[in-house]
Amino acid sequence: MKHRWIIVLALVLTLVAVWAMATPWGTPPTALADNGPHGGYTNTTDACSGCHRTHTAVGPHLLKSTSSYALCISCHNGAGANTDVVDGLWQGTAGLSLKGGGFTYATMNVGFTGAVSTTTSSQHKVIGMSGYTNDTVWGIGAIGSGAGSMLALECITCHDPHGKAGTGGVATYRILRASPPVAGIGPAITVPDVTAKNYVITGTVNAYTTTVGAYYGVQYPTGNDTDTNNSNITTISSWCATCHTRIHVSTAGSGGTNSGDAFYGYRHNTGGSNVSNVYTNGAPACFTCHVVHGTTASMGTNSSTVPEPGTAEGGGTYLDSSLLRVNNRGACEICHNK
Amino acid sequence: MTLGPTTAPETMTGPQEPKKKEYRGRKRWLLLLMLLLLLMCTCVLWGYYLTTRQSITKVIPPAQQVIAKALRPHYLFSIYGLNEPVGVAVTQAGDRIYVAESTGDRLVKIFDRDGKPLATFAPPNSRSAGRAPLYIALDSAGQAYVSDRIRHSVDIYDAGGNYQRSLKNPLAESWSPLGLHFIGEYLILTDVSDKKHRVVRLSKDGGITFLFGHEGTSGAPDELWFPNSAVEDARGRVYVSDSNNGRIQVLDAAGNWLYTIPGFSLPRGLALDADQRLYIVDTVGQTVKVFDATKEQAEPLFNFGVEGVGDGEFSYPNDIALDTTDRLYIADRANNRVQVWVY
Repeated sequence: MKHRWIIVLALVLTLVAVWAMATPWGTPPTALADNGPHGGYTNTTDACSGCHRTHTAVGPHLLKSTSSYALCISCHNGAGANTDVVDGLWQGTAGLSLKGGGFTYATMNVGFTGAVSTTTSSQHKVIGMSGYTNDTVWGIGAIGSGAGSMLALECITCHDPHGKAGTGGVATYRILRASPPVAGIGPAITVPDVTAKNYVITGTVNAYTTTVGAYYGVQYPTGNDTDTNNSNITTISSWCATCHTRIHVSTAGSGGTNSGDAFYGYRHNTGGSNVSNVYTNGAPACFTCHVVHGTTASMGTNSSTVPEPGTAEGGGTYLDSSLLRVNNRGACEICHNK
Repeated sequence: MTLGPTTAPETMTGPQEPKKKEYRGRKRWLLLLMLLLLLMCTCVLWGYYLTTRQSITKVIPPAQQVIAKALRPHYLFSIYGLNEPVGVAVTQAGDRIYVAESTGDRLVKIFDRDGKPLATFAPPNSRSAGRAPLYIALDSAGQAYVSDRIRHSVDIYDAGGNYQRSLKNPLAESWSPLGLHFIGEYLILTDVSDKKHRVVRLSKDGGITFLFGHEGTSGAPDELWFPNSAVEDARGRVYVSDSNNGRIQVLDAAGNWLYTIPGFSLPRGLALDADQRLYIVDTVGQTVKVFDATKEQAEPLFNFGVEGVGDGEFSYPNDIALDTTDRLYIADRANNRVQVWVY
């Protein structure tokens, strides 16, 4: 009889163990918001715990992973988003490039000989990319504050993954933050969203057209974006200037005016408002000459020996291709036609 | 107690000696025979085991299978030397492991069972900037089908990685193939062309046997958003990882929606084992979730793996493949490795 009780007890314990093994995870798993990770949350959203942990996060921003870049490119490598920022491609349709270039590769017509996909020569690097911990942000700060200061950028420095990133919670172009979460910069710039989004540069050949005028005729956010508010271009240049403060100037004749800064004394006007026809409109904007994520442009003998701000000519510390759209200094020649 | 001269030695080597020798000889033969029989038995049993071995859940009574189904696999080893692997496939015997890299040279690499590199391959005349292999499926002839995100193609290679041809687009318009799985002679793939996210089931001759879904995020059953994988169980039910909608859509054999398994962060790679356990890689969830697909509606069994960089920990796992030797292979993307787990 005594032994029977032991057997019954063992059986009960076994059943408990089996139940424990067979029971699934206790907490309901998480899901992305209905409209994806970048917005559309409700008051009872299930989205937060898809990426975050409130008290047990293993990475910054309460992320449940250590790298925000790795999180972003889980989709933006093409496997979960058409905006493939690794390759600089719009993946919804074959043969279309992103306007911002790409971080690892880009398909650009940097030599006006046709669009070619190749490795980038300079990037707006972010934490999580190989070899990057931080870098100098050229021109950040007020007049007289040095060449720049070191910042560690992340994707979320410029983009707000939760959407509606403008001042007052309005939607912005490319979910750009009104102001990067960096101390001491500003003022906040809200770049208005556009209704019909088009992320790509189109043309007769693959991506960038070989026609110079048309190449510059499809710019942010005019042209393909079905947005007639060309002042958005100026807004974007001002937005860039929230970090690159002393590089941006919108005063006519600024090239002949000394700002008084030790490193950024005489500067090219970047306050243009219409880059769709650069031949008739004097002032370009930042995006007239530069892409934002990464470029494949290559630099020749002179262009590759431009010293970094604050270093001497020939000192051995040179700028890279600086996110320029065209090889060497083609960006100068297109407008100035010397 | 006086001891006289003894005759014992003479007695022992006397007339009884031949009998003793005969007895010893017989004993020796008997032992040899027994050993031979034992050896034969061992060989027969070993042969029987090798030809009939099956998963533990097959050899135990059905009532107790819940115990075996809940048994969790454990980490075995990792294959390194990879650049952010996103896709993995394995032969049934587990002797060849195919892995697709998403960065670096963007090659498909072949490894043996121990993780030793065997070969690498890529589309002919392509550069790393012009290709992006993603998912791999192996057909019954051992050919490797590789979806390429940049080339918008499915490229077919022989078992050694020699390019054969690209799969003819079975759709009426351009396509962006992503997930690939062979179910017998059928190929199930996912297509993420702009506005046309869907699942396509192809017969051996390339004909479409069903087509399901379109791009959408409202939660309607026929809406998909970047479906990354689709597999079919023994009942003909198709499981689709509706990745960006954070759910698994379950279809019947004709491609009609049956029900939804909700509750994932970013479900990507799928696999089914012989016991109809459904494996779902949750990329942002940093884990693999396992369901019992024998139920009317798949029920969760357990999950394995947590976020991290150590053995058995994942950093954005993306795909899973199984062989018939109870091994599981998980593409551990941000840790630059493929993890091998075993039951």
